[in-house]
Amino acid sequence: MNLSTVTSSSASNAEESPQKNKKNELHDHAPFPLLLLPEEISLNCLARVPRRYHPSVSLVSTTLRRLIASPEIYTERSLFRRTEHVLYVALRPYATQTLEWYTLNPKPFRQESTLVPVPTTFPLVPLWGMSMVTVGSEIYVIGGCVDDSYVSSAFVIDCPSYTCRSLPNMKQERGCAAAGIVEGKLYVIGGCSRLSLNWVEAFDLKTQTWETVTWTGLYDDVEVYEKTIRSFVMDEKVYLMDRSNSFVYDPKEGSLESDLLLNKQWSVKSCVVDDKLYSFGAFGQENTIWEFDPVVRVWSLVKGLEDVLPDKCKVSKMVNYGGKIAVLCNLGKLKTEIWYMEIGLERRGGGEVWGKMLWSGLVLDSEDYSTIVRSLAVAF
Amino acid sequence: MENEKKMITLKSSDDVTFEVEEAVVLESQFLSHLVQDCPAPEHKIKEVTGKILSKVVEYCEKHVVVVVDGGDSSSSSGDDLKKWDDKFIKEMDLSTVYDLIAAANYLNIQALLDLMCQRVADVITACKDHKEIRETLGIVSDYTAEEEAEVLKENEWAFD
Repeated sequence: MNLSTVTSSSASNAEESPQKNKKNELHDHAPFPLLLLPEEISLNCLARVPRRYHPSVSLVSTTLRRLIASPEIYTERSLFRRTEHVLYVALRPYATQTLEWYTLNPKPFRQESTLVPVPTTFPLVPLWGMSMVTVGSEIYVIGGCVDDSYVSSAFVIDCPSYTCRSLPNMKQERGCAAAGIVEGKLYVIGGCSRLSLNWVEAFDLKTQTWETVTWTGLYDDVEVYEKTIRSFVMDEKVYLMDRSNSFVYDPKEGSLESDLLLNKQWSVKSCVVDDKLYSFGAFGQENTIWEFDPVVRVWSLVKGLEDVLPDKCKVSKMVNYGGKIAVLCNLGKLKTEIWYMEIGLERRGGGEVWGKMLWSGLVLDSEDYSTIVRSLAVAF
Repeated sequence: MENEKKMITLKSSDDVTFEVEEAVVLESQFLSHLVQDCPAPEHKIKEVTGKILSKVVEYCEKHVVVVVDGGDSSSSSGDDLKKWDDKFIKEMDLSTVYDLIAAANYLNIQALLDLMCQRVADVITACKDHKEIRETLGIVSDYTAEEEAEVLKENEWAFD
């Protein structure tokens, strides 16, 4: 069957029926012959199958296995806007101190997920101190610590293929810099002495070049530490937290200000969903999540999660996982026992925000002790 | 384009005729070229049966109306269209789906092709395991026992 060759370009002479000899093939089929379809149509079908079913699809036949693993699947998925978020988690085992990357894989035909090691082709990243920002299916890796010193290098990991492309070097070496994308520019702030002329640099995603950004502010003489602990973009501004203060960098104004209201309750265990910050255990309430709206500047409790959240001290990471909040806890004492919680958010009348526990369960159980050092969601 | 409705007759491989507005025909890129290049009142589509062509016409008629109305009340008609699409594919057996995929591909109606491919994807995800996918889609496994064991082992996490 070769109907795929009929396109609009050959349509004008189709009245003469270039496929006379094939006309009966359309009707000659007893079972459903998915594999007899032109490959582009099989890909169109398979790209619509959610990722969790891929292991089962690859068990059907060798052709399906090849198709479901092909890079074209991801091209099709992004074409149909069928991309899904994949949660990456980096662990640092106590014994080796090297990074081990995992993805959270939902299991086929079951509401369960598990952490699975990434293929060995996953690129090597600095041991610590690198800033990581995701753009669609790519992870930007900036600076970090290599052989005991900070580097100015940056590269991009393409997740569907696990290939790397390097970016031009920054003007400044950095470790633990704040990073975030605003209007097509990746801003990198700090991670070096505040006296550096290149304290803020921006990478233009379109022209693929770095530029130094001048800034003003901090007239109240608040100290800014070299290392940033958390940084997020909300409302087209970059928010950053160091060990004692929180700041907001506004690229439009080129200004940096400290933010006391945010700083009061912003926890390391936090993430941003739809331009609002979600922070674990604020206001001294251990097992709660609070929302901070940077526009109206109000902290409010996320309701509906009473009795389902663990204590703050047990939480390792919070991350925006495709609009939901993913919470990772490492509950093992001398081993690794990672629990995962997925929380959906819903806004109700009067602006109240409600959370709903969508799934929670054990996703990794290992005898070796590790800490969770990174988690990020990539869409492909 | 003129405002008065021009009618075109489509004839299936088994000589079933359908009289449709030109706008309906324009949903198909293949037929658009055909009616432009060959202004005959009737067009025989030798590759598509009456049963399938009636479905194609039904789909295109539904979709063309919405595009014309789309100017002012677009959002509700978009939802209605989605509901209509869902109903259109819901009870369709796979053999019809396959024929419609072939017809949509031949006639170059991308939206219909996409809808049918979505139906195939839905059928796959409604199965309970790979054996049921094989059975439902009529695919015979070409794995050797060793190969299959290897694929199973690769994805051990998914099946434990």
